[in-house]
Amino acid sequence: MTADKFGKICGIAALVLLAVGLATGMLVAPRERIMGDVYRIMFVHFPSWVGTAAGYLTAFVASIAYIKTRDFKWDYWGQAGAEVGLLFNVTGLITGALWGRPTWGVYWTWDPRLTTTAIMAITFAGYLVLRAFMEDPESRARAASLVAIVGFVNVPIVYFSVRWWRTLHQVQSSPETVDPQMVWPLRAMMLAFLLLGVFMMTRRVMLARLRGEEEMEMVRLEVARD
Amino acid sequence: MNHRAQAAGSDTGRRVVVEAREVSKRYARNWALKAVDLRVEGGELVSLLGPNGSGKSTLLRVLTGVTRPTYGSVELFGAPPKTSNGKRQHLGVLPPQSYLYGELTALENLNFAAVMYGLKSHDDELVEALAHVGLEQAADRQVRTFSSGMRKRLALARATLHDPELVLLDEPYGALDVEGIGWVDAFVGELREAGKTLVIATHEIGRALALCDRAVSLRGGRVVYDGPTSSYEGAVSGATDSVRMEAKR
Amino acid sequence: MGDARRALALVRKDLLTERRSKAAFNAMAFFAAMVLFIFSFALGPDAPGMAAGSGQTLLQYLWPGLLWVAIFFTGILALSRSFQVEMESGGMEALRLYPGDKKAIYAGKLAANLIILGAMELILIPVSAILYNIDLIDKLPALLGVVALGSLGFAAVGTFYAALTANLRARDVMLPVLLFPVLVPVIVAAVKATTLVVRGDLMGELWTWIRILGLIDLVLLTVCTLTFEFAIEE
Repeated sequence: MTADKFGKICGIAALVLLAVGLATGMLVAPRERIMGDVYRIMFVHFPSWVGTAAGYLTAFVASIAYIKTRDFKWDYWGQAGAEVGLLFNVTGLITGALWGRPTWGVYWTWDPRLTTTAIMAITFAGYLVLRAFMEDPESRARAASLVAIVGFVNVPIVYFSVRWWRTLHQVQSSPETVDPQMVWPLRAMMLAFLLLGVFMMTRRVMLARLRGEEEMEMVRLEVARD
Repeated sequence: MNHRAQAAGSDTGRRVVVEAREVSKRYARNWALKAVDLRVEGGELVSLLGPNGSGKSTLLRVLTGVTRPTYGSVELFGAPPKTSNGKRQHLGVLPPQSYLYGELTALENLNFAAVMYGLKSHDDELVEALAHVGLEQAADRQVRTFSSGMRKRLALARATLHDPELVLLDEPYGALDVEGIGWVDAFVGELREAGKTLVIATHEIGRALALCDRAVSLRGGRVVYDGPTSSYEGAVSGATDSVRMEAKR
Repeated sequence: MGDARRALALVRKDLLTERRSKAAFNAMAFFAAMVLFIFSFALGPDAPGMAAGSGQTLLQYLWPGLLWVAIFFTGILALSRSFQVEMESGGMEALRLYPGDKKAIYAGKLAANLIILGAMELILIPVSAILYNIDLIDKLPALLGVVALGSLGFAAVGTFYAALTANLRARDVMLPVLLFPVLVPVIVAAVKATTLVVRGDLMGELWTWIRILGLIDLVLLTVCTLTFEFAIEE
């Protein structure tokens, strides 16, 4: 199965699951006792982190593969993973802030998870800024891969250091455990976001490959000419 | 100058020292090299000719393994430059930028290079190497006070300190006066006597043709001539005039 | 053996260059002094520390954090200078052309940066203690240990990213952008440990934090050592 076909299947499945998940999450799932309807943002918020993880993990693995093989295919995957991961990461941060305001009373708190996700966003935003600054494809791919590798390894270190750091202060408890009736829409949405992430990454890789190949083809023609 | 035994230089029969196959290199959207083939055998003296921007420096950088080619492969002493780490012992490079540290004295620069090459040389040997390039008076002067001719001499001493089998010279005549040019000629002649393999990139066509056995001419990243220096003039007649113009400037 | 000599030669070369030009050190000393004054103006030299309560000024209360902010911002100068010297002599390729393991280059650069950073800290700490009226004498050994560990983490990542960004046009922008997110664990642990040293360690946590800091250093050092040779390619 080609990546193109695989991506299409993921995209269609994501679409179906999104429709099912949103419909059941918004209409079927009961109101939450304390938070009321506000909690329904979790059907977007939690799944965002699934997409974030999928994206960054892809970027990390692809970056190692690029350094090992120097095959541009992996650079395309690295870039796609970072962009898609960052997109979901920012979605997660925004929905989290919107949810935090009515429930915790603040948009932002220095909870380990929040801090870690924010640092992750800054790290991979830096990755994309670096790419924008570099013109030479080989150097760009190499430098960006290293940034993704070190940045990704750093994520758990940030999480644990912030967690230990905050233990003396009040620990922000996670929202109440999820009611069984809300579980299925949430699971559907998580899977939907995962598939959506995969779909977007395959499209992004195809685009990057087209651009890269076009560039290469021009070169090949130029080399072959005269 | 010969710190180590002549082990490396002794068996330069006709073995292939450098081999580049179909090497292309792009920087951003420009192609510095287009499908270049180059094969240099032991003891050869090759001049790389061509105007500025024709890809001479890039080719040298690809040969040393400093830069990876976009396409194609390079072998240095029979192995890709990256895996032939130990064989860098046999490689001396004179870059256009000198690789010298301005804050250090001439002797300190050589001392640093010696350790980095993995040599265990004493100061008197280094002073000897300095004397060989006529810089013994300036041994304890900081390199930033040097004239460009002195820098070139020191850079040559640095490049050949470890008695390499293969020496790549990028623009050895750059920014030199007549005396300096004569001195470089003599130095290159000496290396040749010692049986070294040399690749010299320059746009001083006259010098190169007088000095070398073989000329490789690059234009726009492509090899347009590869053969004995004796037939170079005739072969590239179309291009020669403009090349000469540039050489004179 | 040869690689250890290479690393040492690199340290000697960098320190010699720095001793003669003082390019990094002068800039760092001036910058560090300015940072100390700016903190004082921004926070008010006599503003009482509300959380501290016991007659401390805000500056005294915040000193551990301020110290690390000053060290990190000042240290950036040393890092970028460290590879600027190489660029002036013809780029990283000179170092890469020498035979031997490229980890020696990382080790040498890291050690040289640490020494320059340490020299700056030996001035920064007493001067800030005098300016802000902090009594550090009996806390000095523990403080120096914590500062050494924190600086090691900073220099380990910093040397790596300085090498990676050395031949970018926008290196002055990119170095902090890439470096600071990765330094978050280091600054968290270093500030925490420094605070415990300065304010007293009532719950016996200091040793835990020193170990956490050491562990963070170890992980970052390992990752950067393994990937450094790719960072100096071009």
